[in-house]
Amino acid sequence: MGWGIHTKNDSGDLLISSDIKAFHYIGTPTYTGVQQRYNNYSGSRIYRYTLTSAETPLVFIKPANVNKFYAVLTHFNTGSSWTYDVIGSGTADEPPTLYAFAALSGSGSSSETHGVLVKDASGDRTFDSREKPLAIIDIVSATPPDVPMDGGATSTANVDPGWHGCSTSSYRTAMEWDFTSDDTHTDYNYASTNHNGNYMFAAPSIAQSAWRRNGYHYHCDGCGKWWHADEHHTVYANLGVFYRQAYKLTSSKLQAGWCSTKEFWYLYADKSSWAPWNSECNTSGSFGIPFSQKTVNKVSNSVIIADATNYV
Amino acid sequence: MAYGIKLKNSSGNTFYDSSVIGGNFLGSFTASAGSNASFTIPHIDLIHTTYIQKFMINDLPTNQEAHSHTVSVNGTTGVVTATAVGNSSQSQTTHVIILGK
Repeated sequence: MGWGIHTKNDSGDLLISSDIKAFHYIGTPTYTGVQQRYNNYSGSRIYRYTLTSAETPLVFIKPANVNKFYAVLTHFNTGSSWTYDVIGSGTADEPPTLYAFAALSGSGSSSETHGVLVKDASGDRTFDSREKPLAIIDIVSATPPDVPMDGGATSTANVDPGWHGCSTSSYRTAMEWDFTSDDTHTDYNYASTNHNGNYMFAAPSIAQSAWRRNGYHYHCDGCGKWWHADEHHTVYANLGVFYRQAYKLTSSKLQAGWCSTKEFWYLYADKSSWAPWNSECNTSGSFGIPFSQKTVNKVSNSVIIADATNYV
Repeated sequence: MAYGIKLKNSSGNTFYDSSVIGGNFLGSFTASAGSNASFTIPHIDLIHTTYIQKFMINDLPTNQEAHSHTVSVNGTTGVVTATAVGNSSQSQTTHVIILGK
């Protein structure tokens, strides 16, 4: 540094610099609606937002319900147009409010004539107190537990769902498991001393997890009985749930947990005999679960915590 | 606060002071599916801790595993490396945002 300014905070961390641009508030992305609803177990919603920014934005989530888990699921970018999908747990529509931040460029056009303005060698603003610079409260590296379900890991060993004719709901009941995920999370401390209801966090969801149960049943009515036609009853059933990583911020903890986003169900129930009372009750298509009994992309990701009060 | 910096808005409320962590944006880059990528943080000498946020972007496949890149940072050189994971169909495009303090 031949010239310029470097300001550090109480811990010796870089706070304001004429060499490095700071994130500044650029607005609240526009909520456009729900992309997907999943209403079983803990449930989830995928909310969509749009934003215009020439610079790469950093998006924070201020939860609509502090008891739910949220995370940025994915985003799409074309030029300065950004679209964000945010996942939230629950079976009700509770879209969070997003706050977007990006580096500034140019010299700005604010009418305010006081404050702190720092520029780099190109004349671009690195810090402008008039443009609401991002003040971070804490940054936590957080990962969720390996298994999302409150009921624990499922086994791929077959369970016997019994024979229920064509009653799909009866097979489904027999295949159930506690696939809810509200109470399964890893808790982290953060700088929560001044916590208030406007706390927000920037957190991507990249970890995915999928778990299944398998069912099989067979019995024969009439086999070995000369007076009764052989009736073979065969059932194959599969039930699986897919999860994405998400976070909840309480007044004292950052909780890294999960949202159930989709389920997979397959049933084949067949009664066959040489006599004319066959039946076959199948779901259409295959089971379709992309993988199971494991979690992928479970690596540390930074969760950035800030107070939205200054940006409302 | 006996020393440091304190910035107030026009209402007189403090919105930024030397107790917070600065939102220093060190850069971002996108690693394409199936390919490795790297990025060099400018002025790494001013930074003692970096933070990475990894995003999987666009629509993800629903019929197979979808893997993001692994990302590592060399704190001395400032080189951030994203390494593709999984086979060619499993590997997904990863967007990386880098912050530091």
